[in-house]
Amino acid sequence: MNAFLAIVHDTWRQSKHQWVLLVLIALLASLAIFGVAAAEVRTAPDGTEFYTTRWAKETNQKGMETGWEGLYADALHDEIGFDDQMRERSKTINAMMDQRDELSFAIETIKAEDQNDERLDPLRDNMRTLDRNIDRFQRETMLIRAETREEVSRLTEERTADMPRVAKGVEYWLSGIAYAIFLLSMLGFIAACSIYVPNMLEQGSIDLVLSKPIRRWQIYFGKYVGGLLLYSVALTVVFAVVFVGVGIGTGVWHWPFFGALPMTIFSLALLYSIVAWVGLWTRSTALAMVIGYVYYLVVDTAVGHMEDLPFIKDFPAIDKFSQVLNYTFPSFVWLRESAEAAVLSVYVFPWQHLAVGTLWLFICLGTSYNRFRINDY
Amino acid sequence: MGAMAELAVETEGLSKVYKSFRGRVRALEPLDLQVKAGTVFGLLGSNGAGKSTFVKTILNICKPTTGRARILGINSRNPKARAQVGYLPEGTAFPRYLTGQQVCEYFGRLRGLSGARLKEEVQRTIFLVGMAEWADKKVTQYSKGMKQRIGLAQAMLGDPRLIILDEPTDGVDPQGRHEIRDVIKRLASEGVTIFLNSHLLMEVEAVCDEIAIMFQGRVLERGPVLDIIDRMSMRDGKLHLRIRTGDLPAELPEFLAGAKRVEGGLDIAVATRDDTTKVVDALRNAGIQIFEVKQHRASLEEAFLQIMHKGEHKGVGGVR
Repeated sequence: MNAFLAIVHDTWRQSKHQWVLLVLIALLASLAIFGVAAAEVRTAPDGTEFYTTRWAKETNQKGMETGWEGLYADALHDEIGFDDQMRERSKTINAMMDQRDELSFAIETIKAEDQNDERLDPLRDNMRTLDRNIDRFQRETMLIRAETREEVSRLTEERTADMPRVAKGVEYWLSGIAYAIFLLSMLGFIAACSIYVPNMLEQGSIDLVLSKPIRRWQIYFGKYVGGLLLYSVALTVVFAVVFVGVGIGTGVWHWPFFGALPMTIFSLALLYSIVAWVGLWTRSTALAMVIGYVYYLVVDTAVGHMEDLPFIKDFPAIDKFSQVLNYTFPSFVWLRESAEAAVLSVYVFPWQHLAVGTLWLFICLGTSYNRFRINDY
Repeated sequence: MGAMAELAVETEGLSKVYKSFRGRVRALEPLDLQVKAGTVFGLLGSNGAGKSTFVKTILNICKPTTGRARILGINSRNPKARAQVGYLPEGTAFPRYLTGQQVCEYFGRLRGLSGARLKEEVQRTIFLVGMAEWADKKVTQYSKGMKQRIGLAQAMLGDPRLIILDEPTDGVDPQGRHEIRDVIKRLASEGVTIFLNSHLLMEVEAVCDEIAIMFQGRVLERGPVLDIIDRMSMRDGKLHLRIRTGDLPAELPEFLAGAKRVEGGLDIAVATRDDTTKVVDALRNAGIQIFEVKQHRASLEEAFLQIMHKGEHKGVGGVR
């Protein structure tokens, strides 16, 4: 254990000399200061207090609670699974419309040859049935929308009836801060963590470490845990500073703010395992960093948003591909949204992305450790 | 078990083949080697002979393709085997963000030391290698020789029973080499087994009790340094003496029938070193004045080159 802790400690010491990490922590600290200082509580003419940014005009009596309403509704939609349901219904209605187009084309073609063709009647019957089905389906969809709106209003009322305007504003503000911390962390941590493993594997350094009476898992996981733990501690401190700062400024001690931490740290752990995997196989900091960014910025965006592309319904192959991607790659978009929702005390659990992410985490850590265990240095 | 404990390093059929996309490279042919505890053992060979691979394989830094190794009686795959070993690799690269003292503390912790013992050990070894004044400076400010000394200091931490040094004086100035040799001698006098990997023959000759000479992954010669030099000094299986004498008679004694007259004396071939006395006695008995008796003796360098030459002609080892 002593040796494992020595590796963890050395990783921390190494981090103190890593300017990328220092810049990242400085940016996080700036974000924390901004989060505390950039918003304030104001009093409306009716005597109610609201939370808004310092640069908002005095005449603007709408606090952040207006933004909160939309955000909270979005989070509830995620919780209810409304978006998924609508996506499925949209696919079904598109398929029905395609079917209608085909029928219409067949009728027009036959009519052009012979207006009294006996094949026309059954086709017209099918068309009428399909139109009725489409109509019914669209009514059902509208009904679901209306019911969901009502459900969202009911849940909002039920859960937040007693919430003052300030508290809603604080929730909205903190959710935004959690979002910014998530993005900044992911972008900065890729650069910061990509150096750890290639640096450890440097010739003349790794053989010295391996000659000591310690097991290889202690070395590899010491580096991994050391890097992750250090950043997690920094992140927790930033969250605590924002929590305390906003709490003192507003009197609202919003504990669910910390709910964004686990998902943020999980996402970092996952990304670090991928970057460490590349670093171990290639021994290259630059390559680990580039692949980390490509993964996060390209693959993740594709996984997270491909389904929302407007033309995707016209290309069944791309539609299928996007579904396969969803079950193959974890989506950080979903994980981030889950982190944001947690700040609003709405607990969205993207099980599919979590499961795929956990699998990736174990596969990356397992295969890279195994490589490290059997490899010659 | 008793016999086992006498050996600091023991290998049985230890071999290493590196595999890559470009093919297979046989770096180490199956090798049986024993190094007695308490000796200074030198592994000689030109670059690429397999010395470093051998060391890395016995330390489990490289996995053997076949065979096994024991360090102080313990299977080298077991981390406990490395608990009694200090190691200085070739071309050491210390973490750039550490000072010399922090390097020693870090590797001391990895070695299992902690608390007051760690501090004492670090101070002691840094002092021993003459780096006390520089200990709190970053290793990036060190010359190559200073890095080697710090490397040596970390290798000595915790009183290891076996110290493996891979090219310890590489890039070190003559004074630094002398100091490192002194440290090695001191450690040897304390009963520590030293395994020295080097291609600097004078250094090996100066400190080693036994050597092995490697060529393309094989050990071509092994044994005490003097024995190897003697063997390599022989021509046609015999030692050659050059004797400077006074005037020689027309007829030489029967015992010296094989001697060759040369300017100022004789050249005589004898089977063993003991025969030298017999030759001297025969000359005396014949009333011949003897001014100087000199055995033709190869230097370790000459011996090494001869062995390498033999290896090249036999075409051993190599890339498969």
